Formats: sequence, C-alpha cells, structure tokens
Amino acid sequence: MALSIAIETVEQVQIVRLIGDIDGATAPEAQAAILPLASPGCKILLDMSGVTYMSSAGLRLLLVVYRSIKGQGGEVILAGLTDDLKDTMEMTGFLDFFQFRDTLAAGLAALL
Amino acid sequence: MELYQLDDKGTLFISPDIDDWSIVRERDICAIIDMDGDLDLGVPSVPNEYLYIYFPIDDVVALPDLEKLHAVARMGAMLAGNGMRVLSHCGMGHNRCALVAGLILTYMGLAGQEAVDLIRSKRQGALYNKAFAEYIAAQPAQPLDTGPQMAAQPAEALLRAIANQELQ
Repeated sequence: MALSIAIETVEQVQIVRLIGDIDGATAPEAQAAILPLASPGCKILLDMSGVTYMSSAGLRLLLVVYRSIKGQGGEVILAGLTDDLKDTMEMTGFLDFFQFRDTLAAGLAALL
Repeated sequence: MELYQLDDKGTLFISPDIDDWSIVRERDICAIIDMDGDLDLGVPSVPNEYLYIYFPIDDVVALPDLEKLHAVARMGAMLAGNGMRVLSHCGMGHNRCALVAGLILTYMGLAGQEAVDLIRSKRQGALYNKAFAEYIAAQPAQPLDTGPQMAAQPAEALLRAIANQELQ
C-alpha cells in the first residue's frame, strides 16, 4: 500500500499526516518530506493513526527524524499509534524515548 | 552498531547495518549475510578473508523466495557448524537478519519456536514481523550434517573421494 503524506501548520506546530504503509519502498519519500521540517526549536506532530504497517525501514525513519529534530532542540510527538504500532515500538524499545499521545488533539495540546 | 551473539559458541550473530568493520574483525567473523537493500560500504576485499552473501529482501508481511532463503540458511549453518563465525545483518537488526538467523538455528538443531525465543532473548524487539516469526516457529529442527569430519580430512583423501564418486 502506498503512503500518503500531508503537512499542515497549526500555530507553530507542523502536523505530518501519514496514511498507508511505511516500509522500504515508502520510507525514503517520508524521510524526504519530514526532515526539511526539522529546524531549531521546531515542533512536529506525526499523525500515525493512518499508518497500517511499519517495517524496520519505518523504525529507521523514526530514528532519523527523532535525531534530527532533537539535534536541533526541537520537539516531536507521535499521535494515534495503533495497538500494533505501539506493540512494535514497545518491543523494540522505541517507546522509551518517543513522546506519544493517543489522539491528534492531545498531541497538539501537548505541543502548544 | 552492536552485534548480538545468538549461540553459546559464538558462531552466529545478528546486527543492524555495518558501520564499523573493526567490530566485525574483532569478533573474527568470516561470513556476512547482508539482507539489506544496499551493498555495505567498505566491504573488505582482502583475498580469502570474507564470504559476503548479498540477498536483499523486504521487511513486509510476505515471505521472500523460500528456496533461496533456505539455501542461504543451510550455508550459514554449514559454516557455523564448522566453527566459522557468521553474521546476518539487515538495516535495524530486527526482522530480516533474524529470519535468516532463525532458519540457520533450525539447521543447527533448534526447533523453530526455540529459535524464535532465543533470538528474541538476545535482541530486544527482534522478529516483530509476525509473518517472519510464525514462519520460523513452524520449522522443525532440521540439523545438517555440517561435516566437521569432512573439513578435517586431508585434502588428498577428499580429492580421492571426489574422484571415486566421479568414476562410479
């Protein structure tokens, strides 16, 4: 399944909506779209509620995005992780360092 | 980059992308199974030093070509069974490398579920791809005759055996 990426700005928060699978075929496109958003003090909300599958390429994408944003003193929150994605991130230890919220609204509120 | 040793003898490892070949060298690894999409940077090209097996697959719900996968796994088990150190790696060191390593372990004598449990105990989050995990878990133990005795045979005896086979 292809990945659709939409970016919008709400106040100073950039919301990235990802819909579809994040795998080896789609992760480079997502990385190319998200990394330019990383800037000093940026606030980025990744809406993961539409992500149906995430392979290890997706985890690597999150790692790269996390490092890039944190490296610039920015903040990133994941919103709407499905139970499957949450399980994956928990198993692999990724949930230990990512902030996440159950809903987009809660993620937005945390960043504003 | 960290290597995760799977077996007690230290003949089978998994890892994410290789970004430091000195770690591979320190562990005396001689065979690398690369399951990632790009060839590794800096693959040593010293004669007689490394076996580099490149079999890129996707980390998706579908299984890769099973004939090739098992062929790679059997070769890995043969090498490990002969005391050589084998590293299976992919991008993050979770799924693809563990799929091969799991099969290698079954060819080394573990039942599939034992292989899955062992890998998961050594590498946090390994085999979260359920299709890969279920496939390995369903495999029986299928130990190979890795032929250490064959490796130990004098070359002349080996050549004689081959010649006899060809003459028959």
